[in-house]
Amino acid sequence: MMKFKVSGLVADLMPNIRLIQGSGHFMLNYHADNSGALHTLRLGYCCVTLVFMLLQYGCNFVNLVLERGDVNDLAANTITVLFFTHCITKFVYFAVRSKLFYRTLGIWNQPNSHPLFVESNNRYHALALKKMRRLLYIIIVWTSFSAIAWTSITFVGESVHTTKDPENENLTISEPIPRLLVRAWYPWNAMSGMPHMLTLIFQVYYVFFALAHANLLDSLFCSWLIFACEQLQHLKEIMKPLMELSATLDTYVPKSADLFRAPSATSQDNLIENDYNSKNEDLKGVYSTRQELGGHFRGAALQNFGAGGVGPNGLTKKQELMVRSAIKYWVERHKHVVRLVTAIGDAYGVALLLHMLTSTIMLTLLAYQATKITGVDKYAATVIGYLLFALAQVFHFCIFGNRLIEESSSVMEAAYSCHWYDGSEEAKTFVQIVCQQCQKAMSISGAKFFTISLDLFASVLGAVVTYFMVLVQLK
Amino acid sequence: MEKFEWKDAIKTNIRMLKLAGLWPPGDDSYKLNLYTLYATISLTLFVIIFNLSLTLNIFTVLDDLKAIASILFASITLTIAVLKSYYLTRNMKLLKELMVTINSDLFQPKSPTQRELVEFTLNPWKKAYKMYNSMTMAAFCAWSVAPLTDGSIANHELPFPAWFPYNYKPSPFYEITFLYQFISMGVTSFINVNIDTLIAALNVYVGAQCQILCDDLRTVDLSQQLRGCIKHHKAILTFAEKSNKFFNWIVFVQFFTSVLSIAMAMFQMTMDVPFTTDFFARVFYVTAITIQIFVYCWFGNEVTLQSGNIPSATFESNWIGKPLEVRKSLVLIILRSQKPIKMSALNLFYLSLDTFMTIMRSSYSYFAILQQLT
Repeated sequence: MMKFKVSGLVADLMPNIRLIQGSGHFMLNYHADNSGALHTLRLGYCCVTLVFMLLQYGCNFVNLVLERGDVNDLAANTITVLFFTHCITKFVYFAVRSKLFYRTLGIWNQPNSHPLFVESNNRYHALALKKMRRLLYIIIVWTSFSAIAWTSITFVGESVHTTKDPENENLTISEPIPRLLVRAWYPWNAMSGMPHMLTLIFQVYYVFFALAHANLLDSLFCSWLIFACEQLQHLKEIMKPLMELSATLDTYVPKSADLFRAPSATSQDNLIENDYNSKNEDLKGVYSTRQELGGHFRGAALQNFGAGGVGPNGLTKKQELMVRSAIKYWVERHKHVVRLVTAIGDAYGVALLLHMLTSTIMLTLLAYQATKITGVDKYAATVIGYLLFALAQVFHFCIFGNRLIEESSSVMEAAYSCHWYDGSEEAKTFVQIVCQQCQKAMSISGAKFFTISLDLFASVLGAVVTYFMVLVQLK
Repeated sequence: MEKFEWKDAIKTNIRMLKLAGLWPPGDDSYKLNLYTLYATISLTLFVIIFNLSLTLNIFTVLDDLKAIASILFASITLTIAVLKSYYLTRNMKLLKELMVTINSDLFQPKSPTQRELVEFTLNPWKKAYKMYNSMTMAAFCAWSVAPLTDGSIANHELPFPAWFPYNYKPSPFYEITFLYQFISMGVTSFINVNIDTLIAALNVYVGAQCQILCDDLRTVDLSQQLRGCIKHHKAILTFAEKSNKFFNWIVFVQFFTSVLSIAMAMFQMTMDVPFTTDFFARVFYVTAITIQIFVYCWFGNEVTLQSGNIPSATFESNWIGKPLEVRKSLVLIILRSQKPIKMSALNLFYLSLDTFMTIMRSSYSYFAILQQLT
């Protein structure tokens, strides 16, 4: 059997991936043994989960249609149906677009490395790993707590609903309905006894797995963002040693024309050379690195620039190669991070758009439901529970999207705050290109409709509060 | 040219904060000495206990919405004062570092023109301080003498309804409690005013520094002193970042509660009988809390405006004919300064005039809803 080795993001996110596979998502890669029989077994498990989810969802929907007479019931059932629509959407979305997820998970399989920056890289990698694990624990605890809370609140209070009195059209009576987590229509009578117990267990499974489907995918998305942010922190940190590496001497006036050593430009070189050397005296004051850097890179070898290969920036050949390779490492790593963020956006953007659509409608209806709260009872608890859960889901991905925007826009500040004025011309050009490139922050968008940031969360929260206040007035 | 003392502008602030126990002597944070003891006693007695007694009073009138509103709108401002003092003491070390940095050589104005420029920038701050201070004192005095003017002193009513574990009605206790409330309210309002204006002063310093830098860039000989300008620019950016870190939470808490505070105060005003002492007290109070928010937003906006002038000043410098290295450095300065310095509260709200308008608008909507509900 081939030895199963994981690397890159897959290795970091293995617990998350195993949980996703366990909950029945269509993630069929990343197993040690992918032989025919086991593969069919896993595929079967996923299909069975899908069938159960869709069946229960169908029962919910039928119940919505049957109880559409009463406004209160209609509102409550619509909220429940929308809530589970979101969970089913995430499930089906993953099944349909799993290739993009595999691509994103495989993007970091071969990162570049540089001997100077290995320690920093490993440190930030470990930091990212720690944060991703912590996030996963929090999500697991939150999902389990929500499922348990939902189950326990089913057993509180009366299990009734109001319908029109068959004798008198103007009165309403309360009629008992089965004590279940979610109101649904079943072809069998689930009021009591064995059918009730079995239906209850099925519904507990349904609620728990639906919540897990949605939350685990969100947690995967946020873990990717955590990783990208820590890589950006690593890049910001190595900017300073990179600049120090390329700092120039004070005795040799740099001739920038020599940087662009194209053979055809030799004739132009002479012209610029004359101009430059006549202005030697002016430039002496600007570059006086010796006292600045405490002289750690100034070796004796750099002084004799006649004999022994000192390049145009006053550095030895070896040092210049080192600087160039360090700059190359930085640029390649930054491009890799940009590729990762683009892949994340492609994989998850549409899911976020669909999430926001369902959430907006659901939160509007919840605002309406909230105006009918009269005291501290089961109704108030369920409405507030739904509200908090929906807002927490939106907050979860908004806060990590916001962090990505902040980290990527502060790269320019980090580049400017290192001692670039002591660096070589090549390093200064590098800083200039970095500053220009990083003026625009990297962000995740919901299929280009909106940007994921805390502004989005604030506008959602503001909208809910506004709807609530307006509806309270209209009562 | 003698050294320009930046701390001269804020010496009243420092004196008031010293009295209240919020400015340890020297350049250090709180140490184990007499002043810390004095600070702990004064803050606990006059600020924390006073606020507690007012807030606990809410629990005695839980049912009446009007009574709650009338207590809440004062106790919100007092709670903010407690929180601000807490954050100030926690970040005292950072504040002292900032005070040392502002007096360093890099930040000194280098010519008489620059001195004039700085004085000119500090004037609006001084005016704002005087106005804010006078409004707060007027509100505080009007409130405290309200029992005297409307005769409720005969019933031994306190200026601020509060809960005390003892019965304050009998004669000696009543005078002592009255005096205690008078002093505590004074101390708390002065803490509020001085912390707000201190933060505004930090913003004004950043703005003045940006002006000095712009003047330097326009006039100085770039070949010799470009390095000095770059160092100055970086020092300004670090100073702004540290100031922001210092008042992050203070501004966040302030903005959050200002909306509610202004709405409730306006609501209370509509329920008052016009031209009594109470009414005047409330008018002064509403003006004071509006000025409070305005002071934050206006001077934060100034910082953004002044730092947005740096790219233009760089372009106006004598770069023509200078070598390529110098010009490349100028490009880098422009690239960095095109992103202006924005002061923010935890990166959620930016201190700008837009935020001020948003707060005013939200306060008005909450005020309208409160009117509807009763």
